[in-house]
Amino acid sequence: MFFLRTLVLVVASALILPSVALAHSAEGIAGGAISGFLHPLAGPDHLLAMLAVGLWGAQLGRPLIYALPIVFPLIMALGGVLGIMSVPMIAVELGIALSALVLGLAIIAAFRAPVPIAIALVALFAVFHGYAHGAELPSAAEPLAYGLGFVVATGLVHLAGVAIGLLNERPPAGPTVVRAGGGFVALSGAYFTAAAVGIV
Amino acid sequence: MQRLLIGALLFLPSPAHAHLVGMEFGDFYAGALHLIVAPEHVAILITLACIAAFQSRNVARWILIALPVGLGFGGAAAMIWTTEIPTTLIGLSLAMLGIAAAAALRVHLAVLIAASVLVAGLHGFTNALPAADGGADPLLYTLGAMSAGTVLGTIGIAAATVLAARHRMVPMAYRIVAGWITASGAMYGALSLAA
Repeated sequence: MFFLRTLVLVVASALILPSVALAHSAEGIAGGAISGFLHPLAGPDHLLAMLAVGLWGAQLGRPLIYALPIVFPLIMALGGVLGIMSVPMIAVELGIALSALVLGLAIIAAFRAPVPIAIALVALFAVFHGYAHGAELPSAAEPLAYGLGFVVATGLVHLAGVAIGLLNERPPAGPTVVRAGGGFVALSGAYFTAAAVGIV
Repeated sequence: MQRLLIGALLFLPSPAHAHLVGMEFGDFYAGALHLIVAPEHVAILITLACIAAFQSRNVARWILIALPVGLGFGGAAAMIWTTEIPTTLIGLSLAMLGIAAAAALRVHLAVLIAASVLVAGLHGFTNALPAADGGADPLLYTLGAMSAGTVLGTIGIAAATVLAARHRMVPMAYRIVAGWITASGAMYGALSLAA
């Protein structure tokens, strides 16, 4: 209970933080790292899907609790390579939106997918996320610093999802909180999907 | 009396050198620092430490010999052959070694030594290339890079090996970090290729 109260307090405090105005934009390695780090955090569709990967991984337990946060950035980087190389791909936005919807539903249902299926599903969605990021990469960014910042931010969001997902081991409220988190991701995913197909 | 003299010696102030370049060791520090501040070189040292953590100690310690040898060969090659190599290769080296660490591969000793020398040679070459162009003393610069690589490699490999034995989650953290380095290397390679 104390953990939940603290979590709510931290999230609420973070929401009222003012955004910072930077007089000097960083360049070179620092600029590339900062730019890469912020990129995956800027889009709510990406952010929620990555958080859901961690949540679901924690719900599924070992080995997926650590396999999913390894697989997603790896395959996302491959998707990023396709995006950077401008390899044609269809329905990228729809794929990203569906990733939030499907992963959110899997968390609500506490779907205990077999290991290969869970990995394949997450890998498939990671391609769409990576492609979108790769296609939008600023060409001026310091390449390795950008990639490191980008991947580390993604990994940290997964780990945040895993940390929240560990509440699953604290019944009776914990599993409900995790599934409610999945519900929020699924609802957001439904909205993103509707937006991607032009309904809203 | 002897103790007093030793004690007095310990209190002697050491001389301060404002300009190390004036001592003709500037290129040594330049070589060492260049290796430490470039993210691609630091990333490869971290990856080698992660790989070492998954090997037996007898195998892992060979990386400590292969690393300076490779950096030395790479540095020497840069002084002779001053042609730039595609940076995509650096990304590829990160991705390949990263995959080996992420998969917790137990590598044959000969393969590990060959891969370590090859990758360290590649990084030693790209590290020394600016020095070759800039007219720095090739020997001091390469020795600086070899020293920094050896010190960082030793600390990294020792820390990684010891920590891995402490808690069962530590090797998992190495695999996650290696996965991230692989992903970064792949993106770096692709961005370099696209640029």
